[in-house]
Amino acid sequence: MLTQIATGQQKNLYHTPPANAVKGQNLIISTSLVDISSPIEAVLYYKTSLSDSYLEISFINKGFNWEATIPKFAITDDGLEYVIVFRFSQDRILSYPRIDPFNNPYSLQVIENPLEQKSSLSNEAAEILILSPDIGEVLEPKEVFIAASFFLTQNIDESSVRVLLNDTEVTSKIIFEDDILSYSPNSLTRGDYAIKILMKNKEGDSIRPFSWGFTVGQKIKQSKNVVSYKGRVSNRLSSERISGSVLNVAEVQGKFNMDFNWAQLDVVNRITSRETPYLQPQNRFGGKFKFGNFLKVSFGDFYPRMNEFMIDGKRVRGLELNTDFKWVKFDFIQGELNRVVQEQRFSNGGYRLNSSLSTKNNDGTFTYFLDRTGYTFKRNIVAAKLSSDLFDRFKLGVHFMSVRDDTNSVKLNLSNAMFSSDTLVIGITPGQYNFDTFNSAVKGVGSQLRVVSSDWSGKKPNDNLLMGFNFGTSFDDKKLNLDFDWNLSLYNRNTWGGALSKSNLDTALDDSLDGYIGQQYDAAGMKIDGDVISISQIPFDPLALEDVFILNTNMTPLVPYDINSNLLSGLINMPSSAFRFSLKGNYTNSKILIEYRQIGPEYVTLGNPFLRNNTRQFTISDRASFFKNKLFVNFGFKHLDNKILRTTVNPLNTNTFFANFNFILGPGLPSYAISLQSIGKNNEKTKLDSVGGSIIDLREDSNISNNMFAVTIPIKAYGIMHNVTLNMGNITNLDNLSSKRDVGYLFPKTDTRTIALNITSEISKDLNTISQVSQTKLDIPSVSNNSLQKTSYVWTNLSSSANYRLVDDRILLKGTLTLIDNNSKIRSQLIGFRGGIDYNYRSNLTASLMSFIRINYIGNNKGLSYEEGFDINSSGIIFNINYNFNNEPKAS
Amino acid sequence: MIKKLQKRKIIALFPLFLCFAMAGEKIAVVTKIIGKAEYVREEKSPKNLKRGFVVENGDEILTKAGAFVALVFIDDRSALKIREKSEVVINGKKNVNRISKKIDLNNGTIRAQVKTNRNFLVQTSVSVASVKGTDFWVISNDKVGDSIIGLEGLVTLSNRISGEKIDIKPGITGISSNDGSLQAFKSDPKNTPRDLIQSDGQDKKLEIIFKDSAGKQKKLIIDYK
Repeated sequence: MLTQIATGQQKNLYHTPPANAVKGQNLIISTSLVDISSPIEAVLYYKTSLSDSYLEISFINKGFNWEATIPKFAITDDGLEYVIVFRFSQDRILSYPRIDPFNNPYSLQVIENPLEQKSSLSNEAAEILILSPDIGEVLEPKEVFIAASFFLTQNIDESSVRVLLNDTEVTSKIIFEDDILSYSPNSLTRGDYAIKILMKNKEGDSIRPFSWGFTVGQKIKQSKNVVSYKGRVSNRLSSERISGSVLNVAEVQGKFNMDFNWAQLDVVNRITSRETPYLQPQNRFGGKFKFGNFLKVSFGDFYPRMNEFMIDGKRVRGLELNTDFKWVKFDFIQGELNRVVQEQRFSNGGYRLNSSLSTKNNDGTFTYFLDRTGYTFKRNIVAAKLSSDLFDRFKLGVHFMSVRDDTNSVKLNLSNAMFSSDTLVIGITPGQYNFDTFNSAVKGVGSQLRVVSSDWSGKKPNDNLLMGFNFGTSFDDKKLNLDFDWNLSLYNRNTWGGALSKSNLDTALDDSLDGYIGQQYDAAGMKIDGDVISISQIPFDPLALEDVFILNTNMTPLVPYDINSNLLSGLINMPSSAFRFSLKGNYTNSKILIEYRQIGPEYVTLGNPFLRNNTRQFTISDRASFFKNKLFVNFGFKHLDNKILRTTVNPLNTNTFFANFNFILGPGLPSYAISLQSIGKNNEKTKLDSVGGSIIDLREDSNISNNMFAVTIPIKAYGIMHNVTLNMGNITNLDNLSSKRDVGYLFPKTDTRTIALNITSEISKDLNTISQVSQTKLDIPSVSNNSLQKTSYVWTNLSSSANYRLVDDRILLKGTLTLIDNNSKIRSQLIGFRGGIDYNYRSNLTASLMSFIRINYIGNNKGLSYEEGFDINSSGIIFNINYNFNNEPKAS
Repeated sequence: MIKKLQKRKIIALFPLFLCFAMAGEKIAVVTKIIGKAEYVREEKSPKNLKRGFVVENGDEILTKAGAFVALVFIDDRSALKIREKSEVVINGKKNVNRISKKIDLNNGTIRAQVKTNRNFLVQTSVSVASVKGTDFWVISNDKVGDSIIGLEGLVTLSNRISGEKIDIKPGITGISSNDGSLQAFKSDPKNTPRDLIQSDGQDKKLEIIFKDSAGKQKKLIIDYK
């Protein structure tokens, strides 16, 4: 894959990373493709900085941009790393970062919500008591009376107290005397209201605002609803033409929630026209039934997160059970990770004529064999976890998981699968056939046709068994947490043929049926001393364990434990083990992490295919805040290597120092973000290698400097509020061995410079605009005429968008104009327009229409052989309807 | 001599000063009114009570037929609900961070919902109810005596005539009679007054959505009556 990525670097993937991610908020990652055909897959892989496994989300084509939304649950204090991968036909891949992306994901700092920060500049919290109305109370319009007591507050500057009712200032209408704040609104229309009290202490520092909400509406004297429900139905119809390919999609999505007071039911579904039997399911149907706090049953599609070394967010279709009886918790999963796919919709996508198996019969005729291709086995999963939280202090748990491909799920016979026949089939015209037509043709020339019944040349069936345990405890009033996870995997990469018996084991590694595994003999038939295992020493018959795990020679590892090492070392360094030890401190102004994790080179979990194995990683980091949370600093060090096995000769060491600074000074003041990262890599190799008579340089000793600076300045000019954001970043690579290398050596790392200026303006309450200017420059190295050259690729992006509300906010007009200038070996421009309208027919029924067109222009290019002129790069129209419903009392 | 006289005057007048000083202390806010209610301050003529009225130490509240008044104390959100045809004097003494409350119930029915189990006393001509719990009704009838209906927590009911004491638990009604007797028996729901600003004894649920330190959204559900 990495090679493919490396060879795909000449294509144009345009992406400016955001300055940071905001904790607890979804993050939209946006990227653009310039002058390239439509990808067959566009995926964003993301993970926390501490995790080794990626979760994946598909990008959605939004016309100019491709967008993927990282869900807010993934945006935590642990930081965020992501990789963008676009896959094209013929195995072409574009990625961001461009080089070795999964080992060098883009790292993004996670900051606190600036809006919340603005309102919590001081950690002080005023002890205000709500007197009226109660939180969430439903009042008749004439009953509304707002009162709060400051009796218990100290150090409040009473003159600084401001009151907002639904963000409207009502300070001038309040009465504030003798510690009692009161306000009687004359008349409030029905709806939800939020009261916010802003204040400062006597030192002039803002104190965390105090707020609560209530509802003005029809008070229900006695609710008759035993069951409340709410839901949403939305649809999307889109017709898009992108680089000549037309894509029409119709989707209906729904969410439904029922609350029985004693239980809740949540159902989510998506029905899409993209559903096809040739791929994994695109439709989604899932539900969750919660019974109190101790039982949760999920069914359909769900995304279990048991353990990052087992399964961590990958979709399962089946059943999940979670029970929590405080001291004892039990989690169970049963379902399928992959559904069966019988074939692909192209020639040789179900059958392939396997000429290598063709045999000539004694009578001169031939027997030809069709092999199965294009299938995916149904992949079943069963997992369970038993854990306990003793005395709210000690955590213990054991877990196991079994994932197995069902070889019976794929059909042997396909009636319509087309395959090609070539001249090797004697007497039959080369061309496209299905089974029946080809069988007839083969019989017509007196030969025979067979279908290979097992061990097909397509994907091999896998079996995976994992088990492990964890324990943890906390200290210092739960501020310091110690955790340890240990896991062991057994993986069989080809289960065709099933498990070996004891007698099969005897001859698995040697040819002698002598009661020993691995016993070698000299020419005289005498035993050669060595590590041998007597069959009688094996306490079980692998065949008897077939239902648990299929043991055969395709198993990895063949013997999980190194019997020659000492007990502790053998356990720790088992190649198929993965473990993690962490110490986390969660203090008011400091979040400290010390962690060591090791994933053996043969550790495999099919529940988390992006888990990176053969790694040892040590991390120490701290996220601290200073100056009453105005300054956040995240700094630390990571060491990563693959030196687990003693046999590793040239381990790749990666040392990363990072420091991120976020200054959030206060409301209406600038904020700054600075990110500094230095990555050093070396493989301890000092000499050149000789391969096939030629000398190659595989030494690695490099430094990557990845720096980013962003500033956001709120400016008010002529009554208009602007937010100006300047974002500058660069990635610089340095080869520390450049002076010692051959002139023609290719140091294949790309330097990048980005600068972006973004201006958000709120011209009026109805009109706001966003303008952006950005430029990205890549210096891509290549070797030409035995010398290193760097080719510059420069993308300049100008865009402006505006939103305009009218008819009492019922209509929202949206428009975006974009110009992208692509300046590399050739020069081209993309001009795009995107426009749409949102219409709120009712508060619970909205519709939106969006259309876009993008035009590509290629200029003269100094006579280079490109056709000059305009062409429509992409265009489309997207229509959405959203409908919300519930049986809750209406506020109006 | 003159100095001695002045000193005596000062000593004699001190309680008066104290009364004035305390009389002005604002201790509660009227948050709800149904029907007609009045207040009497410093023995002046009754005035109409309105929502938002700030109750001062010593204020007397009078409710007319069909009326209902709810007030909340500003130190701990303890609530006092006064039903129709009641006469209540609200006394409170401000300390550093709390108000010691004494409710003089001359006649009528009140419900006390006490947030902190100290410094809350309900006194009638016959009985004293000192609060160790959180929620109870007091029905005072100057002809027959008082009834205390425990809803939550514990209330110690004292008969001022006999000096006897009895603890009233939830679900128990204590009768304190003019003859000095004290009795306790199981409450009859039919005799429990109706709280006009609470749905009829139904459990209510308050859901508060908040985020934890990891940014995960969580829901705190508080069931209350």
